[in-house]
Amino acid sequence: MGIRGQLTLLVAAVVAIALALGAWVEVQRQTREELAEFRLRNEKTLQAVGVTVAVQVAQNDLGGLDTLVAQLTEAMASRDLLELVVLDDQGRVLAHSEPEAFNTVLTDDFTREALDSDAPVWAREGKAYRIAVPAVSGIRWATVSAKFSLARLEEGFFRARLRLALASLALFAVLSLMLYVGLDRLVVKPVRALQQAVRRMGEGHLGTRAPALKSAELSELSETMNKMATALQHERENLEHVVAERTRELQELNARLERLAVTDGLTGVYNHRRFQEAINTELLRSERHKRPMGVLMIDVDFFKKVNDAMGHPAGDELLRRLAEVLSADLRQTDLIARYGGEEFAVVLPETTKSEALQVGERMRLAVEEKINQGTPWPTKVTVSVGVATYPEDGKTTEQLISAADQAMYVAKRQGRNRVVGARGGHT
Amino acid sequence: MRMIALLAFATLAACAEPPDRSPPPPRRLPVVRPVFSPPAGFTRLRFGLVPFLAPGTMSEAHQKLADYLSKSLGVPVEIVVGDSYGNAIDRLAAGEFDLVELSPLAYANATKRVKLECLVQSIADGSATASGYIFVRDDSSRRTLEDLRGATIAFVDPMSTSGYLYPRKLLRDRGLDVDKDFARVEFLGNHEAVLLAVAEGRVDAGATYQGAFAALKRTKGIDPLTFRVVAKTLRTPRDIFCVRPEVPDEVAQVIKQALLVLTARERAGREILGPLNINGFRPADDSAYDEVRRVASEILPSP
Repeated sequence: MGIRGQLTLLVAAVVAIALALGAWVEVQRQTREELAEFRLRNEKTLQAVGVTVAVQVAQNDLGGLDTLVAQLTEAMASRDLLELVVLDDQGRVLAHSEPEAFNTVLTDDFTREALDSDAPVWAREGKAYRIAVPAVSGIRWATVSAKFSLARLEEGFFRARLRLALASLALFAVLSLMLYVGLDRLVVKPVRALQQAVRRMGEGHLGTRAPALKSAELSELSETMNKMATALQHERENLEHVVAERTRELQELNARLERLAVTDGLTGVYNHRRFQEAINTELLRSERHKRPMGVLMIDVDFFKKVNDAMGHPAGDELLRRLAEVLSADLRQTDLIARYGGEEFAVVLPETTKSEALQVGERMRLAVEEKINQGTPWPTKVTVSVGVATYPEDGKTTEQLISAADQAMYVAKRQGRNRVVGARGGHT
Repeated sequence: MRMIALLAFATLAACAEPPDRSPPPPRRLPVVRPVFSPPAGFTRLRFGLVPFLAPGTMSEAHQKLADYLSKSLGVPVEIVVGDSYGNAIDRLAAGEFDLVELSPLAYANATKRVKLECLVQSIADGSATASGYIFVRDDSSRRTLEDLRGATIAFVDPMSTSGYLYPRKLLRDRGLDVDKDFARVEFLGNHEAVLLAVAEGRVDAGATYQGAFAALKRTKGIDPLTFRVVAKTLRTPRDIFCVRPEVPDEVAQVIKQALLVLTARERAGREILGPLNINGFRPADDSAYDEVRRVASEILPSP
């Protein structure tokens, strides 16, 4: 049973019991009053009867007395009269609702008290009242004693109590229902709403707010929860901000590290390792798609002379400028790397032999034109370019690199500053 | 002064009574019913009686009632008194009576032998029932039933209710056997004879109905205080008036209506009922006699 059910039963029971107790006290009071009234009413009836009885006893009218008692007993049977007796001053029965009791002497305490008293006397005897009054006509001639049943009266009392019990039960039921419904509106629904809000907050929806509630305690609870949710929300937003900041920094660092890992420190183009990765990747793609690709091996002619005449810093400067010039004309998909020493390598995806030769030629021309302007190099700076293409010059990276390398050496042997395709083809 | 008091009283009475209650209409007494013509063949009504009083007294007492019925029916009414309670029933059974007045036990016995249509029951001393008394003379030293052991006692008739059956039951209930515990038991035929026997000291005690003392005072002028009641029996119903089934229904209805309108509260009624010491009649109810039948079967040896 929920708290609502328990509260309902408790409150309804307490109220119903309290009212029933109050009503019970009232019923008891009424019962006493009705009993007193019953006694008084019958006492008056008997006093009236006593006058007639006195007249008949005074006249020695035994037959008349018998008739009177018999008729009264019959008539008053419905008014709870059980027994009607006329007694002389010795307690001898002059007339009785049971005629055969005539001439017997009653000696019980009640009768003796009645004979001795000038006023009406009464006594409760189980479910009956005994009432006795003097029969007076000038003087006291006899005593009229009667017994009245309380059964009818008590049946009324019982009915009153039954009604009381039923009314209490009905009250209890109605109260329970009202409380049940009332508590549902006052407590259960608000508490459920709060609980739902808390659950949503628990699921992470910190934007959820508990509803505004009428009852003071619940309203306070609701506000407290909302404050808590707001605080949590701020805390989390702050945390998210910090995390984002740190993540961005980390990503930048990663990018830099990655760049450092694949870049040639001197020239800023990719390094040998990155070139190997790129050529492997591109070769796999070309094989899969049955597409051509080209590799260029570029070597600086007479680089040693520059180093010897102008020192290593000038050689480094030359290499930087060469990387710049060689990179300038490349497509987005192409990749250039410093292969080693004064040697560069280029990967050209989706490129046929003739296209590759053209690229090599453009590069050779660009070097010849742009590097030699301005700086007074000890000798004219040129490059020798070897070109190899997939699939005709090799199926593996080693074969392709080797083919391009050999073509580059062929270019050197043929006099440098030229582009030579593998298998001896050249422009 | 007296006028003022009377006026005040009248005003008070007027105030006390609801204004819309008109006084009850006076009861009509159809002493003569000229409109009724008796059916053919119905030429007389034989009115049979149980002799609960001395036979002469019986006829005399009933004469005015017989005359009244005769006028109502338009035929002569003949009073026939049985020699004894039993004789009356025998003659009833033999078809000698048309209308009959029976005391309770006589009625109970008669209905065993004859089919009767009952009309009315009498009311006397203001009651439809009466107690039976067992009594002694006022100067007797016998004060209780136990004192009667070994005494002489007079009853009315073996078929009398309050003059034998109920007193016998009371005596038995108090441990006195009528057949063994008395010096002498007499049946004197009627109530009057029993009272006289006690008054004259011929017997120690007697049994009668509660109205007998007043009746004796009227007929013989004997003071009721000549007697002292020793015990009272349970109450019994009073006499019942019945007709034989041969009596035409219209005649029976005329008799019934004629009797029911009689009341001792009116002069005409008193003239008829006075000699009978009764106050009036009410419609007969056979079940009122069931208790008598029960007591009879309990107390009296079956014949």
